[in-house]
Amino acid sequence: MKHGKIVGVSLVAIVAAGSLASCSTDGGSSSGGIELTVWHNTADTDAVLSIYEDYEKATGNTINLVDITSDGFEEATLTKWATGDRPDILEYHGFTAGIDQLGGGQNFISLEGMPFIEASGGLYDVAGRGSDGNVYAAITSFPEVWGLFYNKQVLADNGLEPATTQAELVEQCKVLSAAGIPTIAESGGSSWPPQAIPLMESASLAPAGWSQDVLDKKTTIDADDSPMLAGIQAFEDLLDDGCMNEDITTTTFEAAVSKVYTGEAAYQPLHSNIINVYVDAAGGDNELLGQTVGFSALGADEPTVAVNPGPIGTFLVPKTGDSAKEEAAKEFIEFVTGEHYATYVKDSGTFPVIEGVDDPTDVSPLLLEVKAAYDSGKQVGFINGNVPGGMQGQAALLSELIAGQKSAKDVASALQSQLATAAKAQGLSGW
Amino acid sequence: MPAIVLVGIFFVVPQILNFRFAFSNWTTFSPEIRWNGLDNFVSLIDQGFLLRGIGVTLTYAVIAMAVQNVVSLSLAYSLKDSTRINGFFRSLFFVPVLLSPLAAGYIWRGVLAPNGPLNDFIGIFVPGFNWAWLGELSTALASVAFIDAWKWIGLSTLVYIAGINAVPRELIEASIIDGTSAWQRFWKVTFPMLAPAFTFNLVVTLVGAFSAYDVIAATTGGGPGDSTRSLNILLRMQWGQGNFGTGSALGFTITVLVILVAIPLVWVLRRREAKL
Repeated sequence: MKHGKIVGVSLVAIVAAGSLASCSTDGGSSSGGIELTVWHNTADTDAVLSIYEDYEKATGNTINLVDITSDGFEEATLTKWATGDRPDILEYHGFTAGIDQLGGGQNFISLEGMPFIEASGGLYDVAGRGSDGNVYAAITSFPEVWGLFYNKQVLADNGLEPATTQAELVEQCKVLSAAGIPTIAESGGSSWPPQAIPLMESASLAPAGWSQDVLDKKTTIDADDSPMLAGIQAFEDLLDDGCMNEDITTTTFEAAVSKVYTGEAAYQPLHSNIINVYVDAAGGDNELLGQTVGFSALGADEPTVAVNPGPIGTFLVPKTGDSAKEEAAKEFIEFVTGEHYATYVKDSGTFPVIEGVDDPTDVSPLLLEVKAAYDSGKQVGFINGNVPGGMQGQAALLSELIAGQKSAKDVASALQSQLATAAKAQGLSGW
Repeated sequence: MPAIVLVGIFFVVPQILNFRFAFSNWTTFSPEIRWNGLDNFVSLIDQGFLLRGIGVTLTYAVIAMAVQNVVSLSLAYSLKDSTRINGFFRSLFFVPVLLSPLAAGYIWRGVLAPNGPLNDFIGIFVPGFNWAWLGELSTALASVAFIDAWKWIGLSTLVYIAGINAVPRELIEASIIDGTSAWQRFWKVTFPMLAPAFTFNLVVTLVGAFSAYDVIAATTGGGPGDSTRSLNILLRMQWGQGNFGTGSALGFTITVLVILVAIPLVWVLRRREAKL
């Protein structure tokens, strides 16, 4: 009996080892001929599009790209997902609430144990995981780094150094307002950018485990000591102090870029993925842009870099029930995070997030400042990404705050209410 | 009969099949879709969305309907004769109808911007005039409703022109012989005879405006604050958050609103036509 068990276990081990070996030796066990459907963002860069082509060449598998328009990308993905349709590979957000919104472990294959996780430093401490703690998203692109774009000349003319905390922003606001320059070019006309300050500052303030405490009902988003409330309050204070542009309700983020580039305003709080808009504002002249605009981290009390993986180049593997395709999709993940990663970094011109690949050499000065902030500041993830629903109603609520219809406390209370709705929908116990 | 079948297959049946989702817990978070009674409506009321959304939608619809009908009736009366110049202007006023609502919204977003041409023009008479038409609570809703009216004025103008030209010439001539003024002729003869056109335009513009979405999405996105958040804008917001059940509840509300308004309105206007 005992002997039989040992033989049985040995056979299983041999079969498993054989399977693993075939996986690792040729970079993929699928022998070609498998078609993988990929839902991809139409804003994919050429470098990302090259991944799909190179994967086809390397494996003999084919990729059927299904366009998800970048405008309304999340809604379009959710709508297709809601019909029960599933791709073999999904390019989507890699934050917890985004993964959970699509069903988390119920609908995605865990990527736990794959080499890229260990090789990505602390990135998967702040992103890529579902609420069950498993990694479901493979992040290949340098994440959005949130901070302050600033006009160097405006600060120099007023004897100021780049602000890195809320207190410094408030102090500089007095100087800049006296000079007739709005401290912050905020863009309510684009709806989402006003979330930047609340998200950055709350991320810098949140103690470890705060999101879990909210889920455990030990605290709430609108509690007096809530970091989220503090972040929203910081935004309201700057607004009330007249530190933002008067045309905040109609200004788009592109117009705010122009205001900072031309020196009509000092700062724009946003993420690094909008650098191309700054490059356009500078007529494509990266050197001129580097001389004109800088980037600094911002936290409530200390310089902090809030990082958020964008959807471009972030891949998840949905459960489809087709084991061959699921295996091929995992091999795709191995391909993009492994043998092809150096090519991708070279093609994309951005910084690697996976170890073992050198930084690109031809990088714009402004992007180098972003990287410097990323490397030097304390790195944190947004706290909204770890709670059910991801506080997706925040932009609309901040619009009401800007219009004077709601206070910071009202906004936080509404977010708590929305979280409760999402938690109940997720079937979390106690909600 | 074929029309009834087509409407049944492509409108009534899908609507009925979709109604159940308004009373379900359908979200992206769970594969289960279960009946949850009126929970979605209670949630929307608790969050202040439902009543506010209905208020915004009704206000928008009434403004758009009023502006569209007053202006198009005036235009129709001016352009009723089939001359070459009138033909040119009829075509000109019809161009916005052919535009995508989103394109119309983006155009007007530029025109109404604080540094846009409208403020520049007013600035000629009021130096330094600066007003964010789409960015102020007091003017945003009226502005987007005006844009919607502008977009569809060409269509209702054509309907009114057809109605005016259908008025028997003998009636007009008889009233002239009776010594009526032009104003009296319009109100006492032409306007009553326009009743069918009036019914059509009033109902179509009002009910059409209940579905307000694209112009608002392209101009204000529902802001500033919640001042232009129509039911359809709210629906998209709920949908975007993965709350398909509450989104469906808002869609259901729009359908009920259309039925509650359109049926009595058509009934009243038809009775009015019969009396006239």
